[in-house]
Amino acid sequence: MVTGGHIVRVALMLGVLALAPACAPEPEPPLRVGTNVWPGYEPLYLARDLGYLEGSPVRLVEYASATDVVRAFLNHAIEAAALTLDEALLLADLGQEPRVVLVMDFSHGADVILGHADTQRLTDLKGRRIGVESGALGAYVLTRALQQSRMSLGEVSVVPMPISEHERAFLQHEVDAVVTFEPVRTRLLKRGAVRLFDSSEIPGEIVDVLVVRRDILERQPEVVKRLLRDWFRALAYLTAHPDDVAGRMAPREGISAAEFLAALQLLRIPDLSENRRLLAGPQAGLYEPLRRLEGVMQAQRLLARKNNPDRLLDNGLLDESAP
Amino acid sequence: MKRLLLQFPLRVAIPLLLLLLALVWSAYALYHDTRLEDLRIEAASRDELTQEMSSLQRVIEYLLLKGDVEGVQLAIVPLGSHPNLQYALLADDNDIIRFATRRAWIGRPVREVSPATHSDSMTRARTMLAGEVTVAQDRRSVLGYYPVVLGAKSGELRPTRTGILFILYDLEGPKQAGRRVVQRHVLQSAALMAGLSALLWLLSHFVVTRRVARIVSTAERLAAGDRAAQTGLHGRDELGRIGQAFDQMARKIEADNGRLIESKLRLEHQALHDALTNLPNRALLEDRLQQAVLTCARDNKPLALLVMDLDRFKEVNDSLGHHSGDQLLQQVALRLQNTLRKSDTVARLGGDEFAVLLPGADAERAIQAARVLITTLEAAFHLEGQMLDVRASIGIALFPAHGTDEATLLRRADVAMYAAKRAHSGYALYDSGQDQDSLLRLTLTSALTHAIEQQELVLHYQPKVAFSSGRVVSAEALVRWQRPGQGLLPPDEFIPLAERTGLIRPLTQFVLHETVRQCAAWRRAGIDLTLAVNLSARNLHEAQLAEQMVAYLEEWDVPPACLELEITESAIMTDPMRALAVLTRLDAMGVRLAIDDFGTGYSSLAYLKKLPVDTLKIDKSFVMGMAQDGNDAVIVRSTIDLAHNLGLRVVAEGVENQQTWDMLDELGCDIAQGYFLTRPLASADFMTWLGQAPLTSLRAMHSARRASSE
Repeated sequence: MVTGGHIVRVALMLGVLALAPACAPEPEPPLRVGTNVWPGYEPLYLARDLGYLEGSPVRLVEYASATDVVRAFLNHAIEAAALTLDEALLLADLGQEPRVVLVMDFSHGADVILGHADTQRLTDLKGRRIGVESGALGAYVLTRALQQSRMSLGEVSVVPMPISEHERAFLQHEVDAVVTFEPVRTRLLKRGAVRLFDSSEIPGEIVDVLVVRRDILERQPEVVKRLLRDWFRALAYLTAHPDDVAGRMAPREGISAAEFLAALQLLRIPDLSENRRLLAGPQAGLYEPLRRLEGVMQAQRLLARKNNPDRLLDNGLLDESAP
Repeated sequence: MKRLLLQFPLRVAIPLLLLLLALVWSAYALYHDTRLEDLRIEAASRDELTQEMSSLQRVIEYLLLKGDVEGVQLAIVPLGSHPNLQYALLADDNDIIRFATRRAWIGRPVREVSPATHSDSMTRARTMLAGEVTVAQDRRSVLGYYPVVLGAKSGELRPTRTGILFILYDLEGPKQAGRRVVQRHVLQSAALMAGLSALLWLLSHFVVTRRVARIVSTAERLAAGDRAAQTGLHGRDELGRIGQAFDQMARKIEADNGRLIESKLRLEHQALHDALTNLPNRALLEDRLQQAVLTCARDNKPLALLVMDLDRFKEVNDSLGHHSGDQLLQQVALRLQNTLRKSDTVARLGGDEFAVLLPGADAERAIQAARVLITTLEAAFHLEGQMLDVRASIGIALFPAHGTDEATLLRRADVAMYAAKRAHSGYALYDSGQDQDSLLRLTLTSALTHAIEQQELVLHYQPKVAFSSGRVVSAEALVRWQRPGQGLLPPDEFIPLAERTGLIRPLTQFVLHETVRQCAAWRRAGIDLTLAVNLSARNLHEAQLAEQMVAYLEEWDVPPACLELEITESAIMTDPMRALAVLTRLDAMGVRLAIDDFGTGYSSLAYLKKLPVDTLKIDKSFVMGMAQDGNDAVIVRSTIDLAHNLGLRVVAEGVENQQTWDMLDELGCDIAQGYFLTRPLASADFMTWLGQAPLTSLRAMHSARRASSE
């Protein structure tokens, strides 16, 4: 005999079964990583090239300039970005919540100020036009370079231009100098440009980092962890097969394989253990450069507010990132 | 809900429910899908605007950097053709519109022409340098605010002038389009559901509703008496099986009904007829009498009722057994029927009583009929090879002379019949004087009932003395009725009455109880006697007699062996098998058993052997006569021998003088009882007697005899 209660139970069960498809896990939203062209970011593309990213929601978005990356981060068009530490501070200054999860490289000569043949040193640029990507790192490099040469910003004429225009503008003498970086550096040096300043003069200050929006870090930590693992796997591959990597990556940078390898020499790429040292705990190695950077930027009015740079660091994911 | 559903027949409830379901589902789907569609459109518009404005932002910044004003114009103006875009504008850092999809707005402040633009949002976009796309509060539009860096002032490394690109997207259009799509879909699915419902209804109509209706109508037909009603449903589903079960039930009802009518007729006949003779019984006679009284009263005609009773029928029953008694009754019935006319009614009232109803008969004809009946019965009856003469007594009551209702007529015919019996006159016409006798009988019955209740009955004890020792070994308890104002009544005068009226049972209970109580009392006084009680033939039919006896014995703590039950030989022979069963049971209890009045019945030796009795009591008629009559002496002597050969003790009743005593002692009789010793005595007198001379003299006499014989 079928009782009323029994029928109700059966109906409930059928209802639950009908609802079951709705309970299927939602597909993981993509983790978009914005980058611009820079040899230090190439291991990301190497990882993609080697197929490490397959099955991961990580998507690399290739912007033309660091400014674009910053704007994309501001517009919430991307969840993560490869950019310089000063840019990370800038994002925080604008009310964003970027978190540094990885130090990708230190620039040790790859960021430069190049002048034409008639200039030998920075002071030769007094009253001259300098092309600079003012929305990004360029402003900082120029500021530090002028500082070191005891010059002020008013002594030069700043021409804001994105990195994509540097080569053309320089060669066409629209500007007398450019604040630029690899791979433009290699190409312009080949065309007779003169190095007036480079990042080896301010060692440890120009740091390329991977930042991830805080809420994404909380929501998709596994995805970020996997990205970090893939990064270190790619680094291992790079160490093992530098020529293969150069062959793969040089065309993206628009330089030869040999030039690519030479450009890499101007970077110092920290490994996993150094990364831990840099990001971990109250004694994190990155605090010092961060605080100095912030001081400089505030002095130069590149930042509007006083921030707490400590908050920018997040090493919570590194421990599990051994490849 | 259930109650509401039960209000409608299934064929209405099912489609109604389906329709309701479809309606509710459609309403829900419409509401839900519309909401989802709205949300989807909002999200899609927001995403589209975000993409659009992100790229536009960078393009415009680049063009402005280049100073390419026409380029900016080219980037903004075509937006106007976007179907959902209401307008787009680019304001500078002072909120003055520089570019817009509406030319007239150029050069004017934003808030003048675009009230939708929120100044908070503009400020936020500027300070955060981040774009913002929001859905308006009324959800009728999407608003996008994107900062546009306008280029650095001189001496400024990082540009601080920020304009705002503002685009207003209309949501109403797409939402309405979306709703129309949703409505179409819901309408389609509602139509589909309605179609399916109709299909389902059709299906249920043929499979369920129509068949249920068939069952219902068949059940109604059956209830209305159409016993041939059948549903004729097939199929192995539930309804099919219900239908088949119903048909089977209907067929069975019809079959059962036939049997019922038949058995009802049989029962009716049984209820109104006597099973033994197949004559109408008392009930039917009373009915017919009533009818006849009415008819005769109407027609002013007389009517006679005859009640007939067979004389000595009890003896036939007692001596020849019930079976023979029954045969006799059947033969009597047959003769009565053959004697009378069809219009007359012969009925058996019960026992050996018959009644004859003669409509239209006056006194003369009734007497004539009574004579004929008596004559008819005079011829000997043949019963199992024996010839039997039967006499009948007939009482006649006449309508309207003796009574005008059937009860009176019956009673008076009965009274007349008793009068005839007493007078041995064969028949008697009712006479009011006869009523006195009958009244006396009635009085006696109620008085006896009263007597048992009021303990007007007393027990007297008659001792039994052993010849060998001269000692009192036992006593027979005899009941006496101490009627207030009328003295002591001997048992002969009320025991037969008690037996006829069923009072024998309480009477026996009283005697048994009193005897056991007395026995216990004497035992306490150091007098160890066996007390005997008489049982009637009727007592043998009482199932609980044995239990009752055990209860009394236990109540008074008297050993069963102290109780002796005396049963007359004729009582045993009334129903020998039953008697054997009852006596066996009583014997098993340990009480002693004696056959009373031995010699008056017709027991066979073979049968006697089987009975578990201890004692034979020779009927006093033989004992009293033995001194004078040689035959009696022979009977007594052979009875004693017989009893001794069977291992039984012999008690001689009615010992009234020394001579008899001596003879019995000579013959080896075991125990004597009678007036020679003493008449029955009340318990106190009995005690006195026990301690007095007669006993002593008996002993002396006894010793003397023993000495002399030696």
